[in-house]
Amino acid sequence: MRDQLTILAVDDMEMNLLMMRAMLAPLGDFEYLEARNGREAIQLLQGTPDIDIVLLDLEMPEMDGFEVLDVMKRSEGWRDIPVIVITADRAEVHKTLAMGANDFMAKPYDHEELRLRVMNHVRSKKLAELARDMNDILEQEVVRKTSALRKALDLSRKAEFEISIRLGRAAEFRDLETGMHIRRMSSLSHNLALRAGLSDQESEILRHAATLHDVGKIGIPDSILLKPGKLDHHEFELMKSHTLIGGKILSAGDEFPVIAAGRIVAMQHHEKWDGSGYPHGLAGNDIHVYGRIVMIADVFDALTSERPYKKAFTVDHAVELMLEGRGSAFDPELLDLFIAHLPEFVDISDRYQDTGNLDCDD
Amino acid sequence: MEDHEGMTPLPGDCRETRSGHAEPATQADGCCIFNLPELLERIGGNEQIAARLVETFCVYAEDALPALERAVAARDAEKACRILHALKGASGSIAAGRLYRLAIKMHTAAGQGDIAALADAIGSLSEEYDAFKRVASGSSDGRQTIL
Repeated sequence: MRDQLTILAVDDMEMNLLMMRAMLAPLGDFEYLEARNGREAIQLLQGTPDIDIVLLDLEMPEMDGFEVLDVMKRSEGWRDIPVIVITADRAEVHKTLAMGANDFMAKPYDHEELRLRVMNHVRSKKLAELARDMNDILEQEVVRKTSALRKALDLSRKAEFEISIRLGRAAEFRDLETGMHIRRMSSLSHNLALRAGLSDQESEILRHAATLHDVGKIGIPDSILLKPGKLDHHEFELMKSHTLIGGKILSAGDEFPVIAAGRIVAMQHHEKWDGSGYPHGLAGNDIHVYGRIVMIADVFDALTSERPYKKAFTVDHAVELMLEGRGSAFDPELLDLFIAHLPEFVDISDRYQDTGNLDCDD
Repeated sequence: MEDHEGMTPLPGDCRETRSGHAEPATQADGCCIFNLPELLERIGGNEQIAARLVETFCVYAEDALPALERAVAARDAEKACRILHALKGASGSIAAGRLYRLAIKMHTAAGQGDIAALADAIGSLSEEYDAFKRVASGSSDGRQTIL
């Protein structure tokens, strides 16, 4: 904000310009610009960016004060410059105030009043400029902070996704399944979620949460997890507990969307539509849609993938087997949706085929 | 009187005379021909500026009065109104009280298109201006000298 005051006086009478200057002299150091008609006033406004106030006579040749006022109040750059209209006719006062004049003084005016009015308007203008400058600074600061916050949030979200993927991968390393199973599961679940009408955001969360479906296997002994033969009743009961272990690993993470969704997936991806699944025997829509989706993706991938104990089934055979579980194991609507778009899901499976390499950073 | 009736005292009105300067030249109606103390007070007491103001006013008035006469002769009330508007403001600013009062009356008449009233008053206007010049130059009573 400048300290120097710049006053533009517009009057066609030399005497009035001289008198105004003399009256304003007690204000101290200020720049006094004189225009003898409206055209000169506009030229001075164009050439002087820091005019603080305009003292405007109305009756002038060439371009009168009304025109000057009209031009100023329509201009983005001059609108906020206060204009005090100097007039001898009260009839003109209403008109000029309606046009945007900030104040008026009737000739012959009082010198003290003129100085006080000039200073009041200049002070208001300077305060408005200060407020505007502060607003600009604050706005820039908000933009800067928001950008930094957004970056931090993005980083936090990425970290959450990354941790989820790595946690899921850690569980897979304990199993006979490969890293590619995680990729396929993640992608199949994401695609089916979108098909089922989940939002982009929900589907994206499930893409990452699906990788955590078997995280609880970390807590299952190798003797059971890697047993080549069929599990006995006791072993199977222990094996089923991977859902609860997964739930515990991912508990108390409600503020992290992927962890919270991962907990649901870990606990519910073995629940069956008819209530015969585990660990809680949930049925129908009591099973979260995430659990129902991941179950379909998991079973499809398990059937169509080769394992040490079995060959990969053909897609047709896998579908045939899955249809046998329609309405008992699987949500019938979701299964229908999956089968209706089967080529897309097969394409996803093909895209992430196992290479024998456990490192799956594709 | 139009816009100033009932408002602040008129410039040049002796009720407004401030102390610290010579008494202004007045006439019987109590209105000053030229209220120099008031003018000086307005401009911070600078007599040089007061002299320049009076000089500038006279240059202006000596163009304006013949122009007014021509406008009245041509029955051009609009032009007369414009000239009187400026004269009213200028005479008020310079504290030429009597001239200012008459300019107000004539401006009102011009606004009403009353050319006859203007024709009647135009001689008085010239006389008031001459009186102002005399007082301002100190040639009237010697009490005020500004030119």
